[in-house]
Amino acid sequence: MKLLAGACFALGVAFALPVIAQETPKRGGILVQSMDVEPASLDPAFGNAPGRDRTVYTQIFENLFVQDEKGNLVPQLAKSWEIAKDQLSITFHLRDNVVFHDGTPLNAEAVAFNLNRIVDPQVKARARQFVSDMKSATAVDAMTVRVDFTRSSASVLSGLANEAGMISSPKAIQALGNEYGRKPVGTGPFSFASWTSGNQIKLQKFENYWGRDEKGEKLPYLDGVTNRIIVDTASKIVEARAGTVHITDAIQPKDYAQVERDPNLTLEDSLASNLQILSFNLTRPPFDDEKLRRAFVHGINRALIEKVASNGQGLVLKGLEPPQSPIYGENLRDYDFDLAKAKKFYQESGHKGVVKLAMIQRDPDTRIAQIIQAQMGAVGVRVEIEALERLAWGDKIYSHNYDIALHRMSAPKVDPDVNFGAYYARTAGANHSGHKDETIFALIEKGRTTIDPAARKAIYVEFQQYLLDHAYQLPLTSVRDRGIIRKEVAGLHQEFSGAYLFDRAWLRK
Amino acid sequence: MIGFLIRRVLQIVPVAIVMCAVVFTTAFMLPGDPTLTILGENAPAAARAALRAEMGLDRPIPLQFIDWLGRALTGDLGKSFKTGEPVMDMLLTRIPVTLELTILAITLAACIGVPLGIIAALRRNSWVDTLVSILSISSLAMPFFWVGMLLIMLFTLRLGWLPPSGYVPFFEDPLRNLQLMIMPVMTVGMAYAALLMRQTRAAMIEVLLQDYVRTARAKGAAEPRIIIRHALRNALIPVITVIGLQFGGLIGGAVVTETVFALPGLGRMITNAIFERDYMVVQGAILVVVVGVILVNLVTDITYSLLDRRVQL
Amino acid sequence: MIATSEPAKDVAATPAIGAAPEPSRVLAVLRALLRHRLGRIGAIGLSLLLFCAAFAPLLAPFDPAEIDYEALLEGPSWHHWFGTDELGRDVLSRVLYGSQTSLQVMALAISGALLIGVTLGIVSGFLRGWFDDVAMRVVDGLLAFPTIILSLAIVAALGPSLTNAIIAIAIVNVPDFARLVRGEVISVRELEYVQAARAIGMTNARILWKHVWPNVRGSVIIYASLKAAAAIITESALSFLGLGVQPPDPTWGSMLSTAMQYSDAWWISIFPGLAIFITVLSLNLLGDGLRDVLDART
Repeated sequence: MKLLAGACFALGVAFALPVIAQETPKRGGILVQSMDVEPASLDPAFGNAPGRDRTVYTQIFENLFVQDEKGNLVPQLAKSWEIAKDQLSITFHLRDNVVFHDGTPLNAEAVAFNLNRIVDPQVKARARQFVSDMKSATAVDAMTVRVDFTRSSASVLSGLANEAGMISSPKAIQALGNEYGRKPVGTGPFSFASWTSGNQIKLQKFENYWGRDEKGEKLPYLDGVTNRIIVDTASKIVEARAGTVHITDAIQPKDYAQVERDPNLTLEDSLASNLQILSFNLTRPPFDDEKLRRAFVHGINRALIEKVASNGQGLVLKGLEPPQSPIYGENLRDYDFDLAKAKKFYQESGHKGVVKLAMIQRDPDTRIAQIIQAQMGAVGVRVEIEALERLAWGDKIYSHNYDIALHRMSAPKVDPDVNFGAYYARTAGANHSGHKDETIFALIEKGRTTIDPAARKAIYVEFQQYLLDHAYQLPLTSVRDRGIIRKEVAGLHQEFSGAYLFDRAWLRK
Repeated sequence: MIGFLIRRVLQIVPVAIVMCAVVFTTAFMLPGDPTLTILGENAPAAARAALRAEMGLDRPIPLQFIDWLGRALTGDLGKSFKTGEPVMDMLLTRIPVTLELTILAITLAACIGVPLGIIAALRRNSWVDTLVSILSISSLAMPFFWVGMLLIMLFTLRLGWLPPSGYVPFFEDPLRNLQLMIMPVMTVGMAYAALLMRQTRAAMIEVLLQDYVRTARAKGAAEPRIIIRHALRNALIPVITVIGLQFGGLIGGAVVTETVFALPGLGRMITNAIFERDYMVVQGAILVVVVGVILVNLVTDITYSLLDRRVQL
Repeated sequence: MIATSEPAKDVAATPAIGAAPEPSRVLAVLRALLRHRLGRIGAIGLSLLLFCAAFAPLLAPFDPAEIDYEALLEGPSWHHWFGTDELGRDVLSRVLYGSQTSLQVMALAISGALLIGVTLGIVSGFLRGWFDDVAMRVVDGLLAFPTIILSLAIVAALGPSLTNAIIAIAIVNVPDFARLVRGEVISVRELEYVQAARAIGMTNARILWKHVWPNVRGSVIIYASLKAAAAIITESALSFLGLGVQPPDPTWGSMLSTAMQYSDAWWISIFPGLAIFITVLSLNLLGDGLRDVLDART
């Protein structure tokens, strides 16, 4: 558990302060944040969009430790911890005087209750998949908890630092039962006020929050946070320009220019990138034939797709991770655009007829699909586009009733296994191309259980190269997620999931 | 009269049940698995199958429908698959939004459409008439979402007068609520005003040619009195009918408008639920819309018969 | 008589009683229409649409699906009169070809609705009895549905495509036609000469064709022109909500809904918007003109 070693002794203030915090923070005001994915539940155990959900959860809940923007583990509700020699358990010492929003105190029993709830098969917590190597948690004394693992694993630590390790009030969970997901109670800087599905989640300042700034003053500065659900990118930008939203999630590269022109707005890099990937359906003809797949990987000019779909703001994607990822493979060999090669492979495949491209009707997927259609037309392949809504698309893809499909992936995740486990492992819920390749299954499993970061990276790079060599998928483009932040917002900091933390945030006017 | 009322109200029941059955079946014909929305695409396939079984989604549709109907009759419309929020609670927060939008839009439409219709009828074939006709017919020729976007471009981006979208309940912040409602109400109201204007004009022209108006004129009654006492009262009958009958269309306009302006109303609730295969929500919301529209039609009929004694009940 | 909810009250006009379908009559109506101030504008507008649709391949300066990576989102110029779209395609060509698709949606959806709706209305109104009761309850139910929600659900169930959009728009328009025609038929069947025809032993089918249909025809034509206008709006709304015609086929609705994402490039939003506007306006004017003309002939 080398990952932990560096962070073990880092006590005190949870995060390094941003440089701009030289100004004296002003108290009050409501910060408005927009997001396009609404959480399925406000109970972190039952969220369905790992990472995305953190943008709201971190305002209400806290973990024993969290990942800072570089991915290091830093203390939050635990002030320190020790790792057992056999690396199969960790003992946490909890911070004193922390209370939940409902007034109950945070203690070892509460933490153990939460962690045992996540792994309890009866509870069917959705976050359980991220801590599948955790066995149980035990209260050693009032403020000390020991967590036991079935085996040493790297992914379980980031699991605990994210949704699966968020601590709720046991009293509230017991009292509310199934309703808890709509009335969450945590220890975070803001407490739940209201949730209108499809519209907004409102949170208010928690007066008894334990956090203090460096002058010893109470946090948070803000009176509240409103999380508005705005799906349409154009609306997001209009709202930000009008000042009715302070922070947005990622916008489209085509809109960068108009945001940069506005003196009230800044465009901020997020930690993650949005990857566009073309999957071939390996489970049935004609794309079980590698020659036909090769016709596509060489016939599609990804540089042009990048130019159109992300306005030159992105990159041609080489593997399944963007350059800022710790497991990015610098030396991956991918495909060259070569029309002659593509035509030759197409002829050899002997394929005739129409290829159907299933995609979700949204931007820029619609543009990418039409470019692929035109480019493959030049190879001599007739591509028909099926622009579907998300669930109709999912129905086709996950039952592997399609020819080729466009999809997205957000990377890097808090741990590589969050993506790779979900998309490529034997138990993967979203194995897009439908591969049943034992080599890939073995590599993914080995990656999850390896702890040394360098060895882990080597495994994942090997996996990506294997995937490329067999042309199972065609990675297309990658664009760094960039969101809008209005200039009056100060004191923000970001965690590794990409979520902004608002405990020290304040508004200049 | 009473007998008529009872008959009409009783007729609503089979219509509503048939419609719900149709909606239920259609909803289940939609391709796509709601558990995908609930669990997210990272969830293992086994977990999705287990959840389907747990929610009873693998049972025959007629059985599921009867179950739903039974519970609906006791006032339990089920829960949203996606968020777990009871459908009844969702409806209670959504209905006021759509009602506010439609009522304000009708009011705006009546304030613009009826006077313009009267003026156009009184000055039939003059340039005023032509201008009003062209204006009204033009505003009917623009898709709602286009009008909405043009309004946002003008009032928010260019002029900076109005907030672009979102919703605040009236009783929480009346001023902000009305500010946010201006553009949606204009979007729906303008098309609706055009309809009312056309209807008022046509009805006024017809009434002005009637014998009793001529008689009143011959008796030397003052022109404004003729218009108000005799002509308008009779002309309003078909106008009211149109107001009532267009209620369904108004809700349809609200669907698109609510999407453009991000208003959390019934229309957006239904479209989102269709896209997310949130069957219970689709069911509950459509039930409310269908019954609502039928009731409004009933009220329209009654008003019509009260205003026009020629129609026997 | 029970006050029925006639959706067509606002547009139904008293048609020319007993008008026979002679060609000279059709010509007379057309002539009258061209003399009608607004009707003339409508007729010209519609002819323009038909012209564009028929000669799109000749008129369009570019292939509407041809991507030009070097000319993304360029404003109007001598080369591209209406500018280029997000894939560098010529907007003018797409608007011209879009007229074909829009015309197709309009014509097929409305004739489908007309065929089913009119048949249903005539049979219902003429036979009355249980058939009428059942049919009208279903029609009432469907009328209570906002058309956009119903068509959205149908397209979502069938899968988004041009054909399915046409089917959906046809289905949502059936009840209106059925209601309108049924009302007309009920009033016509009580007329003396229809009663007389029945008395002399004319078959139902013959009465329907000889006496009832000519009376209903006028209102149906007027109504169809207005509904055709609404069909274009519905198609664009479907596209806006994400269930439109599949790319790369251009329809004005899908062009407009794409354009909503590019607020800077006004030309990709204004031109298809204007095309919809002009078409819908023409159809509405034509409907109004027809009503006045047919009315005047009473």
